[in-house]
Amino acid sequence: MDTFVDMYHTLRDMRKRQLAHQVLNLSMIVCSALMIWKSLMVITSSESPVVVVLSGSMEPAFHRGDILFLHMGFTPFRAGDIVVFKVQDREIPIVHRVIKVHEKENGDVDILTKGDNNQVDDRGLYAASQSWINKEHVIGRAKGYLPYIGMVTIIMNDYPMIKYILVSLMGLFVLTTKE
Amino acid sequence: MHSFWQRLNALFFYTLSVLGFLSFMAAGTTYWHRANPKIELQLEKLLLRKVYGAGHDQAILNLRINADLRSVFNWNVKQLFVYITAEYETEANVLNQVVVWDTIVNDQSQAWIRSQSVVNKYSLTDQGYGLRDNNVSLVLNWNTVPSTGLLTLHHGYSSVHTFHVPDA
Repeated sequence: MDTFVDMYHTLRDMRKRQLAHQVLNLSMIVCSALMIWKSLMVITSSESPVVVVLSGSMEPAFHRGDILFLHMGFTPFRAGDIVVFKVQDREIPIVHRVIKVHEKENGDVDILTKGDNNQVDDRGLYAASQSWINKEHVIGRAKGYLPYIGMVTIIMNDYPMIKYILVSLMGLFVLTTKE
Repeated sequence: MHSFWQRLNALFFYTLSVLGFLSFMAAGTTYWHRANPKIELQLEKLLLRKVYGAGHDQAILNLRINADLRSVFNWNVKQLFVYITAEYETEANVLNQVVVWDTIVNDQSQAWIRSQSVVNKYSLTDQGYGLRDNNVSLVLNWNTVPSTGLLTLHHGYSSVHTFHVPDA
């Protein structure tokens, strides 16, 4: 508790110029985080370079709470690729494996996917009357894997209060840190 | 002046960076790992039947698989996703790839796959009638899922089994 009293006092005693300095510091951190994310989007040519696995449909390879690093890849799609794709009217992208590829001469490609842990392919998950996934549905291909770390975001999404408390605490710390 | 929170913060981030470094080393050191897989694929029996109303044929395969992937394992391999693709060319498509069989190998001791009369798990169907009177190649591939690090695909293109589907 003493820490917070201290923080309050530091904030109260700050002169205008110093307060402005600290606020700028905080916005610098926020902006750099945003810049890193946006640059990653450019480098990986994927609109979401890092995704958290939310379901057990790819077990035992990926469990809920694992992190995947995506890249669109330079080669054409092939069977066995793990793709992240979006389906119309479904908010959350799906991470599944390609089990069928039909590639046309002009480079257009029809893909069918399936979760390793699912008994049937994904036709039932696609939009009504959609039988194939095409390039425009794919967000990226899973290229890197890191276990467990995504649990943090899952917990924060399940209990938004924790997210707000953590973010405001971090903000407070940055604001009140002395040189 | 170091408060309790500053110490906790420093400890937390130090732990994180050590963990990060260790996982990077675990993944990075496998760069020099060389695998020497032995693969043998054979088609034992083939049946082509017309699926009425669906607009395509369905091929039922009997496969003999002998794949020794034990050398692929190293300390950063969590599992191998082994799958066999049937690949062929048709007038409509420059490439068709259909996974006909797959298995998950979690342990090095199970990585020598020896199976006979394996019926395809997923039906081999074309988008049309392109399977008839066509050459189809069977390729064994595997996806290495690491404990941490890069997900990679490998193809056994050096031991492909090609067969001809008769004109039904």
